[in-house]
Amino acid sequence: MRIERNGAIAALHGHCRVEDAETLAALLWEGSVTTLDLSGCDSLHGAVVQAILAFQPSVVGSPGDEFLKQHLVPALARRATAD
Amino acid sequence: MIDELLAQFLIEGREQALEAGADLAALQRGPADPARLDRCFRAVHTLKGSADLLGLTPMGRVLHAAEDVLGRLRGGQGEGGDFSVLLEVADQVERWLDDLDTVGVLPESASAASQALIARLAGDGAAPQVAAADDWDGASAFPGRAGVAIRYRPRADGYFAGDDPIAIIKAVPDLAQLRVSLAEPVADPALYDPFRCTLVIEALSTAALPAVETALRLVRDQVALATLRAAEAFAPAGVEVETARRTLRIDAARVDQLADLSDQLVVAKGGLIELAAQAERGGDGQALGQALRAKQAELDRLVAALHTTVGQARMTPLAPLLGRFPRLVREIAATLGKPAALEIEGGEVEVDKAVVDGLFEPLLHLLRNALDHGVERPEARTAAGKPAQALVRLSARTVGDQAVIEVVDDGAGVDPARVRDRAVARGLIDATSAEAMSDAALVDLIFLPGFSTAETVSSVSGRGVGMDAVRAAVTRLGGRVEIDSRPGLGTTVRLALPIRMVLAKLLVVESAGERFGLPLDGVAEIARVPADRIFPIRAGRAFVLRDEVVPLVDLAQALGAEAGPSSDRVVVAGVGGEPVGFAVDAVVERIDAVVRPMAGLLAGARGVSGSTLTADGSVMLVLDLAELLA
Amino acid sequence: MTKVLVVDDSALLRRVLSEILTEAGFEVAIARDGVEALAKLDEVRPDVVTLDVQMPRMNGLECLEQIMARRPCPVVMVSSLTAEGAEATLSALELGAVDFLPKPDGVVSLAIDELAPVLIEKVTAAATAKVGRGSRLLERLRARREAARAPTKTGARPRKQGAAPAGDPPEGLVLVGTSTGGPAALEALLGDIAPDFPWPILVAQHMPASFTASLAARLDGLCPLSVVEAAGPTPLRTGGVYIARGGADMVVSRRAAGLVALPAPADPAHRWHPSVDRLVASAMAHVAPDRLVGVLMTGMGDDGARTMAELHRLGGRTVAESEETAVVWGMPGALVRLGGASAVEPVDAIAGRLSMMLAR
Repeated sequence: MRIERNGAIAALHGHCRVEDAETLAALLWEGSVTTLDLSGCDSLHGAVVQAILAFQPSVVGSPGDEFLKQHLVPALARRATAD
Repeated sequence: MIDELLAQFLIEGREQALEAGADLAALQRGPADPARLDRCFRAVHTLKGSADLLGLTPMGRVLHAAEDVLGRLRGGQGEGGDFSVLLEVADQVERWLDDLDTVGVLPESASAASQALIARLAGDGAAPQVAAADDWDGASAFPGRAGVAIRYRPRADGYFAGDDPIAIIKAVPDLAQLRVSLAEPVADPALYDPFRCTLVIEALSTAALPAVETALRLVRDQVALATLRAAEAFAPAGVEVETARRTLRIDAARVDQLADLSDQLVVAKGGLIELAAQAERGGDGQALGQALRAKQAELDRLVAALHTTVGQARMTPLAPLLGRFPRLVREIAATLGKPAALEIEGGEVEVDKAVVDGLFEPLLHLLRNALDHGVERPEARTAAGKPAQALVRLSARTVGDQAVIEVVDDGAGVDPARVRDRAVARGLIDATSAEAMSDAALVDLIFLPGFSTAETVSSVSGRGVGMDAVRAAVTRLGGRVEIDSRPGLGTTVRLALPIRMVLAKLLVVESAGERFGLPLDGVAEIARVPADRIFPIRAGRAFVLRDEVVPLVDLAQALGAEAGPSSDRVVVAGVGGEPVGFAVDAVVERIDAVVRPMAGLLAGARGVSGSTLTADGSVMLVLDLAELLA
Repeated sequence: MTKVLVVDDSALLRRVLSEILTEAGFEVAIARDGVEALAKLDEVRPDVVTLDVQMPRMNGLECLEQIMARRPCPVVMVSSLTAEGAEATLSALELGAVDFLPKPDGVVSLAIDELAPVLIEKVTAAATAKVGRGSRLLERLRARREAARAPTKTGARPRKQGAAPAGDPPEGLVLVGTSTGGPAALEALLGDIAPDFPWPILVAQHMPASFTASLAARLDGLCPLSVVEAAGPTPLRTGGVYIARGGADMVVSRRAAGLVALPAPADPAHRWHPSVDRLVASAMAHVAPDRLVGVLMTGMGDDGARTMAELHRLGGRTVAESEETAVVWGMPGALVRLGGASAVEPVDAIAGRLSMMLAR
């Protein structure tokens, strides 16, 4: 996983693996990132998904991967706005 | 290698499961016994290790939990110890071993059964915590949708086990909807644990249920599924496979003997090579002949020794077979609501592997019969002044060259009058001859095909399986069945079986143009009886042998053929303790032969106990003279 | 040829172990239990013994004691991953077994594929392990254990037992990595550590998951500091020793509460877990090199050597256990060869050396 910061937006790139969950959690806990851009993601591990659900940033972006685009990112985005 | 390991596990594992079961049963009954507890712990421990090694996860998990419980009991931390759940674990493991034996895999239900037992071992009757949701209702989760609704609540330590729940759900075919949420809110963000899984995943798939189940098979215990609307029942067809154990456990010392013999054979064979070389060089014919003769003698000795040793190696104790029954009897007794204890004796008796293999079904049937038909209901027993708990004894002992196995119950016995009425009603005998029959002969009628004394067909004994099936199976093994009933006191069924099926000594005789083998141990002598010494007696003939009148039977006639040309050769054999002479055309030779039980069309043939291959490759029937006259 | 005596009461496991070892070129003899093993000891003269912990007639621990008394040789315990197995294995390591091997678990083909290299590596390393080293050290350890335990029995021992470390947020961290022979080395190190030791100590001892809670409890009994297993995110405090959860990795991170250590799923990029390399690398990401001290003790392989050498290069301090006391001088040896050791010390001098390094 590579993280690209642009103000309050952080863009995640590549495969986000289990060990990236702690990095992401620390980043989101710190509070200056409010939005995640998932356009560049190739895959998201469950632990990373869980960290996003735990810290509830806004989720944007339309990744190339079919499953992410069709199902996971909409599910995360829905969740973030529903609460 | 895996198949071999599984095969080995089926032997070793069964023994350990039986041992554990027996010890647990004793511990539950009796006083604390640390040595027994220790042994039981080790058996469970080894079983668990093997199950883990073979990837039998549900079995491994429940055994692991059982081992922990036993470990605590052993460490004295157990509060007295309730062994009933542990006993259920042992029983479950035995059933799984049966499944592995017949179909090669654990049943679909194994995971759920394992978890239920683990929860009970843990001491809380509550449902296992995974419970993807007992209260989860797939239909309200995805209202108005059709397909398979999925709720997946991964284990808290799933990430550590290498699971990625997102990758797992992604693999489900035809996903139509996906929802992700957390099972619990984050309590303290500063100490948020990113690696303790709290995800809850709900999804809807339009694929068929089996396809969804396949995709989720590795996490099946963490998943709840519901088929919405277009419900299609999916029931795996029942699998019935004839069990044939083809493995044999051999005492290490016997294997060493075999190895030693095979080494000697290799050496002897080496000697032949040298002799062949001499012959090629055109050596002295006579000297060569002598050398060959010596080699042949040596080979004869070795082959005979090999045969004997292999025969011994085929001998196996009855204990593993008998040990399978306590669990089954517990189950049957529970189904019938008739409390019963099973006593087992004689596990050390050794018989031929083939006999052991063929005995499970008949014995199971006899035990079922004893519980279902022999043993009265507890109320009736109490009324008759017997203990409410019935006692069934399964015992084995060696008598001469036979193993005698008895199933004895203390039930009501067989009522000869009822047997007679039933046999007459079924048209198995006519009323007149029935009136003339002794009680013992009447009771024997239950071996007739198509007889059943049960007033109703019960789920335990089932329909259409009668004592005739037992007799047929035992006969196929070269044995005999007898029944002995004492009204009001109980029934004894006695099986007499050959211990060895290898290298029986046979007397080969000729009769009606065919050769037959007679078991030599039944033959008292071979006599020349000239025609003028034979006299008619009642319906038959007889002759005098050393002042004793001996009935004479023409073997060909007894076999249903025409009497052959007259000969003075008579084989005198003991039948039911009395000498009987059998007239034969010729006595050919004595041989040692491998006698196989009959199979196929001839399996039920009267008076035939087996067959053997003769030196010229043809099949020779081996006769059971007692049965021939019966 | 190296001779291995495989002692196990499970025919299945005997077969798996001996097939793997035979194929790898070892000469294998087998025994079905402890009694048979002892009977065969003089005849077989094994270079290494693999010993099941649970056996009929004579259990593995009794057998191990007899082997050590009659014909000391390197013994690798074969242990199950239960709580009881952990206790027995740790006792076996106290009694002089050089290493242990978790019983295979899981799908058989995988289990055997995974087992084979580990078994071969452990047996190979054991064949060259120093068995004798122990005697003096072991006696000292035993004496210390007795001393540590005796007061507990009379209830006269004050302090900490079971309490979570509650000191100040630390100025720096000590990172300890060890493998084969580690439990005894940790007893030596932590038993000698000063009660007012200023920095938290983080320990990565290669072990399966179910073992480290027992290890932490044992070490806590003889260490003046509080020894706990880091089972979840744990704030690091002065006066605390944090044992990495087995079968996983331990990483250092920075949170609101300051530095924390938390278990993370084992990273397959590393061969042994808890990974010393991963622990050191994660600490270096959050703590300046001069605030870190690395300690690498007995163990085969080279886990930790690379990252500790890097730490040394960046100005951090490192201590390697010397060859004379290491059961297997693999990991510390690798650090020394990389030129990454600030100091090389026998195991019973490491605690003193650390105190000196951190003295102001």
